[in-house]
Amino acid sequence: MHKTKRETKIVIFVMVFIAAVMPFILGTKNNYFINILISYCYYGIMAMSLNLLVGYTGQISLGHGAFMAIGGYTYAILTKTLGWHFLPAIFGSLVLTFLLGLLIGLASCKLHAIFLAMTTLGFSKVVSLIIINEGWLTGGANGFVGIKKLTVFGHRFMNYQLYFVALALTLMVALICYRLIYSKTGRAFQAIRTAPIAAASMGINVNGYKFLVCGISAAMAGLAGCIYALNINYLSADIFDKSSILLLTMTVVGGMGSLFGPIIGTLVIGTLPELLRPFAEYLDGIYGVVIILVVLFMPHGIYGGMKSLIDRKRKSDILSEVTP
Amino acid sequence: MVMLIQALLSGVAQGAIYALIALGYSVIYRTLNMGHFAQGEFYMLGAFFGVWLFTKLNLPPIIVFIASGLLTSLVMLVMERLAYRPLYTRSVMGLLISTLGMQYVIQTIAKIVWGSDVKRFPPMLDDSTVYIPFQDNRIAISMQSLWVIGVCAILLLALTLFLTKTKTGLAMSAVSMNRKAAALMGVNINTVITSTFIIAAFLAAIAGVLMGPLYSVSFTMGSGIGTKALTAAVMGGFGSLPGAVLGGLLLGVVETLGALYISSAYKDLFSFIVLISILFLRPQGLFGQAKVTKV
Repeated sequence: MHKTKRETKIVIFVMVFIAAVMPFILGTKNNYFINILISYCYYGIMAMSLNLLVGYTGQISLGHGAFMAIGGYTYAILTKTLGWHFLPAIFGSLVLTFLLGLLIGLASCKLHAIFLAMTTLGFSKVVSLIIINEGWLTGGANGFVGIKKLTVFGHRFMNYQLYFVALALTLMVALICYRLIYSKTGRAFQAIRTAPIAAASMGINVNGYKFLVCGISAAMAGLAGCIYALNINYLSADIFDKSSILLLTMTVVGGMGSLFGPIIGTLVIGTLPELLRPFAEYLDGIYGVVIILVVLFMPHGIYGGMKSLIDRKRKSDILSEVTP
Repeated sequence: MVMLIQALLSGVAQGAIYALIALGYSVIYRTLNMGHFAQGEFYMLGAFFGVWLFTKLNLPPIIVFIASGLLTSLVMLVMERLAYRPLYTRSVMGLLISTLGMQYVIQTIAKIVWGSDVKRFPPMLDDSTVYIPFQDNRIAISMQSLWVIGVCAILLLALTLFLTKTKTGLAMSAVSMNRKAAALMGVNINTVITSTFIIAAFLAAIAGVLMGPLYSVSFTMGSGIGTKALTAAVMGGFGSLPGAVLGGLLLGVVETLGALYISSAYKDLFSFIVLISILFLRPQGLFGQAKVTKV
């Protein structure tokens, strides 16, 4: 098994600790901050799932928001329209997104790079078309209103309690990603990204692993959709339309192909709209500028940039020790 | 029958616009082996420059076309210098994502300069309707769509001549085949890549000026049509010029016929179904060459 360095363990512990005490510092009744914290959770899950697909396996998806939409809407329909309990509803939406993810897997077995990107983009367009036009099922252009808050044994969850549920789910997803990346499967994913032909000739079942990663990543996105539905209690197609690009920005800015990257990206890009409230109208342009600047000056994202800085410092420390 | 022919004609006119933008995608793909997400925004810029030149400066149509094409190319040149050129020597993924960012930057610039309300583009070319007797009925053809088809045909011809007969055009093929060898033969790679981007921007701008009077002009008009044109280019076989044109026309016709006979709400679904079925039967597109990977 992969050995985690001691410093990394400390960093993870500190991050989790900060995340856990944050609601008490900001005030458990302060819904504005709690909502931002929950948004970090679902966007974090999304960025991690996209990172698995794009960063580790090299399959470009421009329509990942579609899976979030499918997850959220499935949850909403199962709980509100059909009156299911929340646990089977979450399970149901995970299964559905997993199966639809296999569909994209089918495309990724056959198509390369830009062709796959087009297919996923088209897929997300179709999903939002269906959501808008099938009003009897999804509420159409008005959106899906009145999703119930999370209630367990008659106890209705407060927003900050929901945040802890979301945080726990995010940590679980992060753990799954970690275990996956440092397993035989994760090494196979990375082999498929760097050298698909060599991977196939080493006996890696390339198409099988592509199916698997598309399914897993879609199911994670579905889970993020469920959290979104639980938090906002309202769904509409246009939010998810935009989120595909937002997620790609988060993953790229944070650093693709690393476990910490997407989390850093989520924290940075997720905070931008709150800091730039006065310029909300020009937010898209600011995202664009941030994307271009990061690509130009930090090719491996913020995480990659920080890592190379630390490495350089360590190297100079060693040098100064050797030559007094 | 009359309805079918009319729908086919307007589908072809719509498809010709897709084809013009798709040609830009194909030219870029031929040289760089990647897509260009900001392509639709240059269509939008072209339309805005067209409106400005035509209504504010009252220039004649032919000059409006050329000047808005040149102005858009100038914007492209500046953007390419700032955001694309440093990335040519790195992996394609970075450049691709940079173009994605560029899409939003240009949209926002247009929003700041021209505002977010929808502008009307007064008809620039002859906008009358001709009637052709057919059987015991008559077919209505708008002159505008004939103009669109005509201009697209001329530009396609000019582009083909440029790519096969001029030195820069041949240098583009050389760069697409083997960048290193082309550089060793004295081809200036950066200039060639810049000129592909400029050609793509010019074509998109002309399409924008053509389409402006038919629809209205707003800063969001580019992204939708950019995606459609990319679909057309992918369908036809990315990098192949006849493929881009055929893909564009096919997409235009499928959309109009689907909207007419099946459902107009699901218009975009038909183009996706056609794209998927073509890609699954021929993953390299209609006219694309299958890539044989040597190990």
